[in-house]
Amino acid sequence: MNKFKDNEILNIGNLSVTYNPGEKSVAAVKNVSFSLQKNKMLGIIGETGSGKSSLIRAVNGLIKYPGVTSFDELEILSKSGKKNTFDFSKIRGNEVGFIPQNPFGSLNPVYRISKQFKFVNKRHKIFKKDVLESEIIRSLKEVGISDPERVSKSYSFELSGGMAQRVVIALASFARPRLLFADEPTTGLDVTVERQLLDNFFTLVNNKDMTLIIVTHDLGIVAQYCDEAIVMNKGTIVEKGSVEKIFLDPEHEYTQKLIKASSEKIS
Amino acid sequence: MKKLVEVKDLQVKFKLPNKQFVHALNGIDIDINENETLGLIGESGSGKSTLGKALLGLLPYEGGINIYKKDLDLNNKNLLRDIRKDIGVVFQEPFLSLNPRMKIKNILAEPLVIHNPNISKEEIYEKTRFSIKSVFLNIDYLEKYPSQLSGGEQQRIGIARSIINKPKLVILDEPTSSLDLSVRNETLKLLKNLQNELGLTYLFISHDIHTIRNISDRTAVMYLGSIMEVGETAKVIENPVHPYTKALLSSVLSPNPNIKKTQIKLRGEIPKITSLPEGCLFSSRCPNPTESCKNGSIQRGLIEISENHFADSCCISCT
Repeated sequence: MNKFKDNEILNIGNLSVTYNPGEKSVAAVKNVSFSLQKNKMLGIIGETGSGKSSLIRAVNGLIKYPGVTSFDELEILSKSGKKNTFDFSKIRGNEVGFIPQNPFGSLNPVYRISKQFKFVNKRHKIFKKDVLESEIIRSLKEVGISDPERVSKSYSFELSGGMAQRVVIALASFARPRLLFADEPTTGLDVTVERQLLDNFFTLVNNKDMTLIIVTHDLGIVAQYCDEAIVMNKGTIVEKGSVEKIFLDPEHEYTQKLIKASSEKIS
Repeated sequence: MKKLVEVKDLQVKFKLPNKQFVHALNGIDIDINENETLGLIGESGSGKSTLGKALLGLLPYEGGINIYKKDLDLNNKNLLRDIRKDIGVVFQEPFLSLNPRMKIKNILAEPLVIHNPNISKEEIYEKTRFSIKSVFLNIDYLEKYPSQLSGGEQQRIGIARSIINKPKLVILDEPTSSLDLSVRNETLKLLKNLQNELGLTYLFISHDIHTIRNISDRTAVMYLGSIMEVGETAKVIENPVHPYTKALLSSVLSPNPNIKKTQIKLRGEIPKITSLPEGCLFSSRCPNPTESCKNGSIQRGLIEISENHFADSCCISCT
């Protein structure tokens, strides 16, 4: 069924997201097509409202009414779909992981952290019961948490922002997904914490043979960690290419302006 | 250079319900010179915003704050009003700092009316027009509501409001952190223009080092409610001497993929602000603390490293 060319893991054809269909409709993503190869790290950059979050939420089937997703073609890992039909539930959380922006919005405040890992395990049946506890501790350790025993017994509100974000990353990668989406994983964190977290995160992705798509408005993250970059503006992809190409020799006018704005001196 | 603000051994504490104290500021010594931009950087919880609020007289404090030769006395309401007239503030979240039910013209007029009770309607009209023009917005905006404006425009209204009483000092509390890159640079240029035109002094609070490097003349680095290093921006950012500044700057990611920096990692985490480490505030994270650093026998304070470049004396003796 899959028509993937060499080593491709994701293929999107003409994907659009529209909010409030009808008279006051807002097109957040307009006919976006791209494909991604295995073991590549892709950074999607753009300003507020450029549709970068909507795009990756749509690829995960997370857009709810009044948002409408439509596409001609969507192939993710082993699953593929034509003309707006795609069964997300088979791959989501299992083969595909998603890291949302706000860690406290995605952790349940009434359950301890370890319990939330157990929910993931129950749904996807990843580990046997007798190794589950140690697997939770191990996966918390992998994201750079120095005292995983304490964190696994805590509630989300007892954790600092950086720690909670680490827990969310551990949760998303618990089922060992092959494709991982991260929506602004470090926005709102301090630079020192951000850097440590990114280092841990990217070693995890490299070691576990994962493919990563990261959405951010911080050009530094993409420039330092990713292989490829997509620049979005007003719902369309304005430029796609290797990080060196985009950052050192951008072609499109918008990309040039964006790169210049990040390094501009004000006199 | 004339000093506009002098802060001597400033301490701010908050009492928690469980009788513990949050030590927000621990002995700040800093001067702000006339017509300069002083940048404040530091991680969240380091007390940057608290310092800004203390200068406005919004928090009970110990130590000395002297603004334009007047000592800030929280019990003297008339004096407070006088001092606050000369200070403008711009807040981080533009939308949250504007009243959604007021038109822009009323938002701008409010500080005018508070500080000049006898002001005439014509004068209000004149001044609001002047201040909205000086942030490069059309006069039509006076009749709009904040929700009709974009984030960048809202922040310009915030700036217009802060300068309407012709203040001497403007406290900018992360004014650009919620704005996009392109809008951010426009806003910074606007601030720079206003400073030259109106002779303003800025206290620029930010955690974004790129922004600070762009706008400030002098930069102070804060950690745990105390100033670790202060000096001319070029000196502090290009040649940091304090281990904390070094670690902070090495964590900044460059947008150029060819420039790779390795992060200098400090041991441990930021201590709980309710229980400060004994001795030097930085001793729990210092790469090689000495015995006298841990028990606090070294006199704390800023010492001069080179011209206009100061750093914490204890940490300099350790490294």
